[in-house]
Amino acid sequence: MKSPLSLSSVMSFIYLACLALFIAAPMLVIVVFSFDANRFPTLPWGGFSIEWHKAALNDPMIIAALRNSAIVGFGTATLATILGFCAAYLDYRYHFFGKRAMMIAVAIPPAVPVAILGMAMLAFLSRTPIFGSPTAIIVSHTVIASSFAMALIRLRLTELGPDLEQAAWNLGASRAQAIRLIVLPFCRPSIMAAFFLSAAVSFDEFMVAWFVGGVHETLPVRILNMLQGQVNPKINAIGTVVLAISLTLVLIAQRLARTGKETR
Amino acid sequence: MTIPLTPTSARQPQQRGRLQSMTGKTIKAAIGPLVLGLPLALWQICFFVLPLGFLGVVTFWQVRNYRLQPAFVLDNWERMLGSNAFQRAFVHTFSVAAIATVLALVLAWPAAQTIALRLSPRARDRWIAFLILPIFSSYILKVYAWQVILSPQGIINSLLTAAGVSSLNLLGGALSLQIGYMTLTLPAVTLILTFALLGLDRDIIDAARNLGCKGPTLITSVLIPAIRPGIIFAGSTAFLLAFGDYGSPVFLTGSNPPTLSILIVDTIKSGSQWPRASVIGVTMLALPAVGFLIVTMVKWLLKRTRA
Amino acid sequence: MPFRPTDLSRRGFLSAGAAASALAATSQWSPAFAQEPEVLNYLSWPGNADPYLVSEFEKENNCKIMIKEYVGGDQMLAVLNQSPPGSFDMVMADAEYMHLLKDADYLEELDPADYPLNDFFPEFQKFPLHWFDDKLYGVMTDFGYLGLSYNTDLYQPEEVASYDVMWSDKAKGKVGFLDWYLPSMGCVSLSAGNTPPFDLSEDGFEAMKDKLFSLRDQASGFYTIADIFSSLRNGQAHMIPGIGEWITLGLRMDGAPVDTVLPEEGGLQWTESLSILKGTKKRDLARKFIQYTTSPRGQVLQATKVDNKKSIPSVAGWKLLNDTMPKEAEILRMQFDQPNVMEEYKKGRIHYRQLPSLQPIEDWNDIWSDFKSA
Repeated sequence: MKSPLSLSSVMSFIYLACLALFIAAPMLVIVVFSFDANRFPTLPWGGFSIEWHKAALNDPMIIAALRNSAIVGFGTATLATILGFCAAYLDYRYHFFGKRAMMIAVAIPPAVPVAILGMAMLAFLSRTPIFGSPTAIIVSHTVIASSFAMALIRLRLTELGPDLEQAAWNLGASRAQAIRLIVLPFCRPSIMAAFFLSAAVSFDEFMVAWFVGGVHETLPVRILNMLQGQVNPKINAIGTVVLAISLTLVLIAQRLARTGKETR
Repeated sequence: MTIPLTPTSARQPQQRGRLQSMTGKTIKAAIGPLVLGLPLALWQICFFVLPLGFLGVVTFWQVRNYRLQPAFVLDNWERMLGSNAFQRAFVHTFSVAAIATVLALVLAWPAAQTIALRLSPRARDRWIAFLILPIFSSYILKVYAWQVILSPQGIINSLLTAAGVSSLNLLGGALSLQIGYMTLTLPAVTLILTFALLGLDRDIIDAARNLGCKGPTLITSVLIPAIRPGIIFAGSTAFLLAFGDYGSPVFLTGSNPPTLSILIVDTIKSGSQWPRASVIGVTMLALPAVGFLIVTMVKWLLKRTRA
Repeated sequence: MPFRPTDLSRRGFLSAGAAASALAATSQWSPAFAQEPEVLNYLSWPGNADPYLVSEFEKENNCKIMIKEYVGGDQMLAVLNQSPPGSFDMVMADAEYMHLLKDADYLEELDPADYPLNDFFPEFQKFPLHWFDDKLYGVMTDFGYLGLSYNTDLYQPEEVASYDVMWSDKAKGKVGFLDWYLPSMGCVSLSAGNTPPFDLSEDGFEAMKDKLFSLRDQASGFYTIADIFSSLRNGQAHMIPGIGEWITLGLRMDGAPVDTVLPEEGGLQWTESLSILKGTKKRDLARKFIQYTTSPRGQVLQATKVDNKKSIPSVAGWKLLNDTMPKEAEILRMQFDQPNVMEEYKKGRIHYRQLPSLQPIEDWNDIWSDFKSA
């Protein structure tokens, strides 16, 4: 703008700051109160304490949930990234009958309310042997996360353009070789970004995991059960850990997606 | 060289490819899509299409002694669609989600406009990165944090009391519900609007400014029409998120009154009424689909009449 | 861009795969590792696998208790019905759901000689709802009373002597409810003068329904258990019917101004018991867990658990409690020589919480849903 300090721009920056505060406020509250000595998060502040963090990390159910979350997150990220790449490459490279339907089937799961998806997965998976295992959660989360993985990788493929791969074919490379030598290296940052973002999606999801996981609780499910079961001062402490993990995953994904753009 | 199955970007050869689709080379070239596509298709069919389809089938089953049994009865549909609890929850959920949609668009707009049109590219990237973070991080915890902030002896009221103002009843009403919905929707809606505005040709805006168009007029007669698809996408994202949400109504209003997602969970919890819960689920899924269909038809009709 | 033979595909995903299988190997779902502790799958109300309760047992028997939590017996039945047989080894159930579990053939018959039933107060030694055809199917672990819990800063005990206070102007918008039809509607039924509260004629049922709906504007919300705690504590709710000392005692010890009364119209009793589920492969371990929970030591732990306190049926448990934690025994009103929780039981103001006998459960549930959305 010509005059950056005009009243309207000052107002709009203040507004932006307010919005940022609104978005950040709940996360700050969790972090701050996890260090509060009070048993229930109320003012006045009860003094600095890491007692609840210790208690949370000594709770075997929380540790088990953390381990489940890690397994589910890793499994989901691996599968969703592979499927997301397949979908993105198919969409980028080929035309065939039913492609549109297939792409919609990959893209749409995040738009389905999780309560419904969870119920459907439970009704369906309870008829299979994988029900109630971490595998059931991985399968369900992969359906949701593939959509995000596809979007990230597809965006990167748009930057590749069609010519390079064709040039490789002309030089005698097979299709598999062209994918391996050109497409995958080019997409590498976005593939890794997709991996971390899928892990974050899985790490954050609680409703479907609650429906299909049986006794295997992931960390967000443990939190949901703590919120619905007993009031528990460990919640802020474990919340801080969860926040830190999911923020790290998303930040890594962002970093990677950006490196992709810069190497171009 | 023939490329039977061609890149999306090259429209012309694609038709040629289809014509040649009987040659041996084509079959060989079809291996690619088969190898990549078949696992993908099977996965999405097995773990997404079939479960949702099965949900539709279950609506006709029945429950005996807490056990789900295959059947073909319309009783679940009759009972649910005729029930007061369902009708009221439907109206309630629809209206609070609609309010959340409008609210999110209105609140996000000024922020998106600032980020997209006023900030330097560097600052803009920072803001975009900031807005992506909360979309994927612990929604349920944030709702719980709002409970701590808003409750009668919570943070805001403690501050008010300390300042000598009488405390406010913040938790458990329309306000706290919308605060929850905004936590859920605002980052995504702001992002979508920002990207839509970034996609605009700056020359259009400058031209409009040069013609003396500014402030609200610039927004209503230039920006909004130019990014209408982005607004529709942002709005439908907000609506779908709020419409299907479980966390905010449970933890910020104490299910008072229940939304459809709560009703689903309640219906399953009490008496294992899977078929009836499925009726609610199918209805919830059908609503956006019907909405989409109507919009498409109206568009098509408008085009026809104009032509 | 040059051709870079970076084989992300093979090496990357191979190592990913290796890592995945390594991770999988450490998780519970690979039973191949013999030194893994045995897992006991436990379906229960929240908090019953708290380390305070189970860690001693886990250490002694080199096992791990995995809990699936539910709130309310209907939810418990829903979970059981959706899970393949053998998913759970044991269940902690409320007495009123025992006949449903028995009818659906979920329960293993228990040998009374295995359990210290003779340690129990006489009235609990052969608790009717746990026996079918003179065979034992569940061992009682704890019990408690449900009445009206209220904020002691705002109400005097005499104000809350009757459930009628819920309809007062003072309580408008401040009556919280546990989101479970059974205790909530049970208390409303008691307040309408129905004893026993769950056996209602059609007219009685209609009258109870009208009485319930007249409470709608008084309601502040319909809470899960944690929200019951927080709403009483933070002032969102000033009174809640159908809950009891298992909630208010923990809160009061933490400094919250709350108490529970059994109003003149009466209160409800809940009773929890442990059962072994058919299809389990760990019958012996499950039996040991029940023996542990009903032993004096296990009983004391049940009674003194943080947050929700329970009354225990074992006289031997009471003795140990009085010997080792006299202060707790006083607070929990489990002293032999003082007015204690058993006396309320004998006064006859307490009714078993039971399932509705003359209407389908579904009708009660539907009315509860209707009430919430009204």
